[in-house]
Amino acid sequence: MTNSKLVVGIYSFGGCDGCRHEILNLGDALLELLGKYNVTIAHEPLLGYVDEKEEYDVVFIEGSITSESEVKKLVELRSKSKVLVALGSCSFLGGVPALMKDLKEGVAKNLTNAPIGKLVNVVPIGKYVKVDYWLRGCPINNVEFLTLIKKLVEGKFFRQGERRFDFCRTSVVNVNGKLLNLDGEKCIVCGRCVSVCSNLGVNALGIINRGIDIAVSTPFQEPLDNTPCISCGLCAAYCPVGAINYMNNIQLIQDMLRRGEKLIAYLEYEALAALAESEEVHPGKLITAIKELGFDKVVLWTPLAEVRPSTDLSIVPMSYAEHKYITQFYPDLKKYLTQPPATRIPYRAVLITQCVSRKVYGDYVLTAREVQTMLRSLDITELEPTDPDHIYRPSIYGYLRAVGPYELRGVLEAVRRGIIKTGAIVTYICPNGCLMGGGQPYSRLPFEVCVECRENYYDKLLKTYLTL
Amino acid sequence: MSLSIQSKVDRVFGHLEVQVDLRDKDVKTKFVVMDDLRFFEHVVIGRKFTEVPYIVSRICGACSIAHFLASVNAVEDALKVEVSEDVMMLKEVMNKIQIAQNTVVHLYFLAILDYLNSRNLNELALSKPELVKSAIILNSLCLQATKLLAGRIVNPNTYVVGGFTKNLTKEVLEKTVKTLDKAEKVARELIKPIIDLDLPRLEDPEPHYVVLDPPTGYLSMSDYIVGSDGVRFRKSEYLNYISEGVSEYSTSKYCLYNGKTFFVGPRARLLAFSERLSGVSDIVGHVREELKNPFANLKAKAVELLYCIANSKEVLSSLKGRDLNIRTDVKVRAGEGVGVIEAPRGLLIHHYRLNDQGIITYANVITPTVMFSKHVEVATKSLSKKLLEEGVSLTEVEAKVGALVRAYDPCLVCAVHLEVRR
Repeated sequence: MTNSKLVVGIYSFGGCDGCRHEILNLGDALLELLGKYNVTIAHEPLLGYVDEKEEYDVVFIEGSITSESEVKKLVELRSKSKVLVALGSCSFLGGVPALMKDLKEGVAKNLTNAPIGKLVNVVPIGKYVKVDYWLRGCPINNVEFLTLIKKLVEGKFFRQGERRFDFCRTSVVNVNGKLLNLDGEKCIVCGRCVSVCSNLGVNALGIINRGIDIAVSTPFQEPLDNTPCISCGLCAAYCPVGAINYMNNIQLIQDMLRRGEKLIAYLEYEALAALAESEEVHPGKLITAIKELGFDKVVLWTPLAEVRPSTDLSIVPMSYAEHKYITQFYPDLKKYLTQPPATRIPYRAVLITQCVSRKVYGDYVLTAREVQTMLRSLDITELEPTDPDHIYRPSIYGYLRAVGPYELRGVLEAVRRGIIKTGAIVTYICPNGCLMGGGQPYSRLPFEVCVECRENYYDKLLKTYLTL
Repeated sequence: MSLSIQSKVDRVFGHLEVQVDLRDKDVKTKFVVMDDLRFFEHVVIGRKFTEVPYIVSRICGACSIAHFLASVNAVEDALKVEVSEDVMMLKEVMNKIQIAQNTVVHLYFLAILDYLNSRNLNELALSKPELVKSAIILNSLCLQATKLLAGRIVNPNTYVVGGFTKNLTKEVLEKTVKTLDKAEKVARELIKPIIDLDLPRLEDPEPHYVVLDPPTGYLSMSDYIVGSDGVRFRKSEYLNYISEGVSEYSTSKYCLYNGKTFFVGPRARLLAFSERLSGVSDIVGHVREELKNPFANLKAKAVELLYCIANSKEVLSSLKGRDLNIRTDVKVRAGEGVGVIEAPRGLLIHHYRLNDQGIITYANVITPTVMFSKHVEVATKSLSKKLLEEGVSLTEVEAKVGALVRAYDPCLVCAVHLEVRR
């Protein structure tokens, strides 16, 4: 079969064979592939092809990898094949077999003579080998399979990951130059970033195209700077696979600490509460832990300490994000806006915050998620709790809080109509405020429980530290 | 000359190896399932009852609807949900169309190749273009009907515990009936080559079987199971009669009925209830004598293919005239339930225990392939002994053994859901 345009192997591991059943169900179109398109299927036992070739043009992997011997087989197939395609949710994401993650040899110990190797935890096959294309779904849409093969026959080799985030393939996307880091290879097009963005009413991201060309993109694939993006960072917070990430400063700060520079950590109340929840420790222990990282002093800080509202009506943005949101969507209310806080943090102080948007101001900002990563080397539960070296208190009291997009929009409409005429309005664009901001640490809890738990911690923090 | 065969059986769902050891006078055979362990019975524990049918339908891509329905039946049994007559009939139709579709795939794309000297579908398409063409047409018609009723071909999504999520309008039912009408015409012609096949002769060494026992009709839902020895028992008592064991060499378990090797599936159904097959009695007469032969499972399947399509068409035609009651309210409560169904490959049992919040605390699934796995071994043994006495070559033995195993239509991805207990 030297004149064949494409030599295909379909290999099945731990799965339900539903995707292969779908391929079989192609019927006429499958025979057309074999005839008109001159595709050779070398290995697909379900259809009666049992050759093991030394070289493939395309290998399709169906099912999850559940044992060590299969990992070996997979790596071998990758080396034999020009293109490797993950077929369906099981191989692409782990699928239903990934649900058995807490299950080990214990259950399977009676099966020692069975032809299986040592079991491994099921992870997406992208962890083991480089994957060129993903056909999504449980089961796959067999038309997508057909389209992909036809494209490959025509020699249109493209890497699907390169199509994702089409608007920013060459460099890091920025608002001011250095905020988001996008990795199309990781994107699974789940659409969480798109839905969180549209919930805010910003709609900077959307899903474009269908089938194998599906991608997350901005309107008309404009650079992110030209879109309404307010750099809140929620897309990064809710990305389940780390395809959208903000630039992290861990290396920079760690180098400075290693050089013995005396840095002061400006720790936000919300960041401390969220870290305490996600690490499940007493907040005092976290303060000790941050000092263990090499910080000279830990200061408890809140943006509200800097707010100087005018006597008239003033709208206080908690960060650059709210500032941009209001200037963009409510330009008539711009005159009431005060400057976003965090501009007066002293030189060589590191801000630890829940807010990705504060990263716009400078390099010395760490989000709670980055701190969580840095703390991984420490055993926090063993530490003795300490109090912060200094506590900044809010400079304003008795203000109106507008938390989340819906409340914010309501309050701004009220201002526009002249219902609210005086006082200070503190605005938060993130749903549930800074506690669930874009830089939040990873929590083990489900969303609702996590919000409640963090609010409890926050209330406790305010009670303890503000009365000191 | 090597006297043992280790044959990887292709053209089955999953990975299977059949080992025949001929060194001894007493031939040893092994049915070795090599699919990955997936422990579905463990995975569903701690899950809400609403999620379970959707998870377990992923046990098998070929017969996902059967798993889905058995699971739904079990949950409905546990929650004491009484679905309406209409829903019951629609469920039966869904199952029958699924059986028909699975049968088309198995007979014309996988099994018939053994008798027509083809190794794969493409070769068959070149040598018998007409046959393949009409098989593909029949398959796509069955798929269309499945899509109309179940939403998707693999892993259905129009049904939840308690009833259908969408109203099956008159138009949908009419469209389905039309599709099935076309399918029936194709099927009537298409099953002829199967009915006329000259099968290898083999006397069933262990002629015990177990089938679902509906009060009326063929392939209907029922709460009772009956064995070939005439013992009839409620589905909740299945553990007293059907015992599971762990095989040492395979990733699948095996089953015994009262300590005896048994089989399930189309041949068993036809042996038990062939007189109930209305409309296709002329064809049943042709195959009845052969049913003792395990190879005749193919012919039984062909009969069922025609019956399923014709009967589904009839039932849907009777339903399309009236308003359907398609949904029943579900109240969460603690309970235990068993769901049984005649899947394409035979009897399928799902068994769950729920706590008062509707969370699964115990699950057991016994699939048809697990049930007949010992029977395949016994039949293979008897076949290879017979062939050896006739003095045929080892390659011939291997081919015949492969054909026999394929006649059972084993589904190995179904077989490996097992969890080992105690």
